[in-house]
Amino acid sequence: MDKHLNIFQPGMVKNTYGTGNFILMNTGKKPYLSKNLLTTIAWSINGETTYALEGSVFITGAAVKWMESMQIINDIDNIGSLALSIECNEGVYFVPAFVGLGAPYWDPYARGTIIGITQKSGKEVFARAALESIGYLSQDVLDEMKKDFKTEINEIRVDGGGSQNRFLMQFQADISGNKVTIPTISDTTALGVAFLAGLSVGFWEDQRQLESIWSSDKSFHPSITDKKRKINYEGWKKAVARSKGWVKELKDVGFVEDEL
Amino acid sequence: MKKDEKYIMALDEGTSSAKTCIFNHLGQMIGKGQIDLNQYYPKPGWVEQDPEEILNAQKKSINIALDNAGIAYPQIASIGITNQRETTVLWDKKTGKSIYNAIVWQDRRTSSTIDDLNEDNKNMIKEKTGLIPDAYFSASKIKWLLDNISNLRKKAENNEVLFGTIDSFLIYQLTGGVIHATDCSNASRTMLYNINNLEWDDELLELFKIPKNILPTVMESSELYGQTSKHFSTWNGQKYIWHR
Repeated sequence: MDKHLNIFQPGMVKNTYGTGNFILMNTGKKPYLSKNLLTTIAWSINGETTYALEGSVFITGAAVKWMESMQIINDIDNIGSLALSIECNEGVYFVPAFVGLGAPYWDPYARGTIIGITQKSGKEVFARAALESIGYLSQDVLDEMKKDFKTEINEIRVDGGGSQNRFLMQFQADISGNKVTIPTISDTTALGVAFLAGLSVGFWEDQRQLESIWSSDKSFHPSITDKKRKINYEGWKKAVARSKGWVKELKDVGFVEDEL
Repeated sequence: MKKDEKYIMALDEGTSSAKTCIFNHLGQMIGKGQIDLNQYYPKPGWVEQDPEEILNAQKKSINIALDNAGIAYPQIASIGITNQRETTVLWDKKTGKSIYNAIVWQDRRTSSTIDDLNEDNKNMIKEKTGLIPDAYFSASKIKWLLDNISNLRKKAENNEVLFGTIDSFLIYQLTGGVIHATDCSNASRTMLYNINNLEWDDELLELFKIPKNILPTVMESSELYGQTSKHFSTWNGQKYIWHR
């Protein structure tokens, strides 16, 4: 069983903020094929299999960690307040395509790109661009889900380390235009598997008991205008376009495998 | 806290840390242990981890969590595992020792294997597995290991080697080599598992030249998998029921 037990009902969406981000939508008892998202098994209990659509984003928390290891950010716990110390990203976007791009782009040749840097760009901008990238990359997947499943998303349930970052959660709500809900406990992934383990020895009786254990702590609501959301997101799309196919382009000009 | 009260243990083996959480009947977490994991980058785009280091970190986190909760091993009614998914380990069936580092899900070394697939095969993968063909999943990573580690393919064909994602590796270790299994949610990330008929797919195994005998048994997400072994008790001092 993997990390998906907080989306009990078809149509529910969750986003796990870890090393990468993994956005899943419960699609019920039948596999639902998508063009740019993965169809995957969420879990099986008592002979019944539940499927999900998934968008896997390879590098998100890992990019913040990288910034810390490069000493661009000194204190990972304060990255949120650093990001909040400026009003906007000052035109700087960070596409952390360190291992290519996953969903919905699937470009193994993309590479990490920071674009828009000026002499004025300080640590705050890098902190903000890194956190924003996590929100944008998640939004790319959410957009695809809406298109695929022809449905509106009402709520995004979140877990994982990054969900503790309030700047990021507010940004996610802003850029998606959706409500973002944090559970009371941070380790919902562990609770999910504990529940499956407990079910099989009769420690808990049925799945509904978990639904009552899962309770929300705080919700973030969108607070920016549609116009602003659209402009910021368009900027992101342009930054992504710059990061795509980089390794291929280098090979075209004569770089060999060992140099990349 | 009563000594006969029972709890559930969850092993959360992520990419950056091995965690253990202990829950009571109300779903409240009463103990937690966490040990960070190293990643190794032998070449650009390559990402590896040491399976034995993961195992040791997981063991340490279990002990920390139990101490933290102030309970003893026999009070654990059962154990569940969640893990970093596609990360690929091959290990020696007899000793349980890994043959090579784990190839982490982020690793891109097999991108060209995927690029070289023809359109028919790409479509077949998509229809059978629900996945978009990519180096992210286990299939091309297993193939890389079998193709690049000397003698490994022969050993695999001789039934001397097993494959698993980290959940399977942990189950194998904790049951003393008795149980080689995974659940269907993890199997669905190997790019070898047919999500329509819920079976390992012979055509895909043939495509990636992977012998079926190295694959784990696929079970449900909530099922009794097995029991922790005496071997397991040598490092925790007690014996208790093990399953997911």
